Amino acid sequence: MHEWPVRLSVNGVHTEANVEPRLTLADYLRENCGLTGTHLGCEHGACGACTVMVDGQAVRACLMFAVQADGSEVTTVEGIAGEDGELSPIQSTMRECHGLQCGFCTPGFVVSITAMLRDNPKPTDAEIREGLSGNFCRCTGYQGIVNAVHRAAEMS
Amino acid sequence: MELNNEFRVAVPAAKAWEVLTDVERVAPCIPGAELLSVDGDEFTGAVKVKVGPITVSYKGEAAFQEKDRAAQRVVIKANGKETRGSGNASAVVTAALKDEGDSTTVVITTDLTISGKAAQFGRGVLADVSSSLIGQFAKNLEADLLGGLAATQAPTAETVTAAAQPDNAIDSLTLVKAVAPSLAKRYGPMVAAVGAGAVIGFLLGRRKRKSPTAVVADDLQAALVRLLGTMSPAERLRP
Amino acid sequence: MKAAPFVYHRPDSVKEAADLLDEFGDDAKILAGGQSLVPMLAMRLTHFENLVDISRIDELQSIDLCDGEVRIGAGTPHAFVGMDDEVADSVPLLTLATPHIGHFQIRTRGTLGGAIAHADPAAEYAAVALALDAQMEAVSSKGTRQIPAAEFFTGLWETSLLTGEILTAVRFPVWGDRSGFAVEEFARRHGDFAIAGAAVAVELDTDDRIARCGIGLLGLGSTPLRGRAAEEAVIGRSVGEISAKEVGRLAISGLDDIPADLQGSAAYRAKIGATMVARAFVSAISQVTGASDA
Repeated sequence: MHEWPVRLSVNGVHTEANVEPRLTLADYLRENCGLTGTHLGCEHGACGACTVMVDGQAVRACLMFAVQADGSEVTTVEGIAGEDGELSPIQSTMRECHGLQCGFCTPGFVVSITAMLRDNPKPTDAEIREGLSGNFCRCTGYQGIVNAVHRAAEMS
Repeated sequence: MELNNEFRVAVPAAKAWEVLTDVERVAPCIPGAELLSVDGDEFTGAVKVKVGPITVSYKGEAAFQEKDRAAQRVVIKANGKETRGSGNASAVVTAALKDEGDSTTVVITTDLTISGKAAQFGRGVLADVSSSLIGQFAKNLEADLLGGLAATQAPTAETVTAAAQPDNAIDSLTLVKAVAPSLAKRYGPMVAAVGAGAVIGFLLGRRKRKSPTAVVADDLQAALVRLLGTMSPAERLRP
Repeated sequence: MKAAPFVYHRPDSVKEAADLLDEFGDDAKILAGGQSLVPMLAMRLTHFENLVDISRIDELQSIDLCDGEVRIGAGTPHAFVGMDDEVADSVPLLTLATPHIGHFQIRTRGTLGGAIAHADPAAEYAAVALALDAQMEAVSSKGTRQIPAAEFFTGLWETSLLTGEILTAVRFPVWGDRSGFAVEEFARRHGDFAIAGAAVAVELDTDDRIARCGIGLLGLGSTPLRGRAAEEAVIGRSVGEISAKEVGRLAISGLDDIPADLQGSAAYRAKIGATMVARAFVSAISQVTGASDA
């Protein structure tokens, strides 16, 4: 079987493996690293449940092969909270503002919002809605999530 | 994040100090920067920086927070907002001068906080950008310092002014305006001892010694005219 | 679903990539951002034995303003094109088109060259390239070739790139000072492929007559298109005497292959398209005339 060596830092931890090139980054994180917080919703780049950060940029982990992330620093939802488990601003406001129900879409939202607020710390309501348009939620109707982003932006 | 850089200029520390504490001398040496106003130790400006493949423009203000001559330490606090975007860059830059006789080593520590476009780049890219900016700054600074030194000779060594090419005379006048009276007073007598021929040779040599990316002092006017005269179509279109 | 197995190659240079394409011919496919290719592989709509990953070749990531044009390396991600200040100053149509491309997570990986080489009929950058008469740079082991945008898009997901050729850069001309630009697109959800859209560039002379006009159309055929009938009708005419609605109607009038699908009938698309052109035209013009009061 044709395999490639892959070395990635995931949430600050160095990982190494030999993988098939067709293994997506999402599957690498879930299967090889045991980090199942990154969810597979559609596996074709539409739903955003698999969003992670690669070298600081939010990407669809299902649309990237693990071999393409060789040498990169990946941040998953498991790496968003503080060292001692302290929730990040968006994590605590999602909880406060009832921004999740089943929680399936939540990791994708948390990572996307973290990247979004870093790039645009004081977004307008329109900018928030546009920024979230790449993440789908079937439970909440989105209002709680939008409120959570407003609150998190106010906090920082 | 903290970024550390170091550079050397081939002039004594006291001279480097004079320039590094003078906004109007320092600003033209910063690549891609345009000084908009000066008010004592506070100034406003605009700067265009290439971060990775993208160009980001900032507009903001800066001020000298500390000028400790005894400790040879300068601290500048700067803050800029993206011209197109909502990001921010703020920095506290500490420059410590180390006198090494004929030259000075300047150690720069930058405490940088970035949001917006540049924030998505990792520390590696930002460190590269800062090294490259400071490297070019150092080259410009050195050229300015050494050029200023030779330029003060233009009025005293008459053969130089007469024999020098017209462009050099214009440059010398510009530099003299910027440099006099402090440098002329301090270095005049010392440099008068240098032969006119050596000075002409230096001026001519300096003209040719252009590093590819640095804005050398004798192109300073041209560069500033270009920067100040450039208005984007979008800027012209805004009512 | 998961992609079928393939052999992965990661060349360090364009030359190496071109050599790999020569070696494997039609069994190889260029992988850049993967935002269009990987879903197709994952859904098994297509398959290639060899993928040649060019996403890390530095020489393909660049944005340079030089000699009246902006040259963008094909490997430059959409996000960078959209946030670059030189592009915003010199080719604003690109800056305006970028937020319409998918979602921000797509834009961090997807590349300008990838979008143009993939040639989806609703690709924003493709319509911009057409409207501005951009030049595509293609490199193969035999050398470099310049392809004008008007000759580049040949059919549904088909371009005039030959086997073994890699799109390495696109050069967008910088229009004059009295220019206005706008992009209008309609989709049911933000980020969906456009049902119909328009990218419009206009340049006025000092008497407020149209000196130049480029209308790029998306989603209205099997390739991105140009609204030439509308362009020709407005050249030389004074801004005040042009009806935007008429411009929209003319832009659509010559189209004979408007798609009909689950999103809508051909007539529906045509109506949306005409409206998008009209709105973009008004917006582009007002950028120039609005400011001339200064």
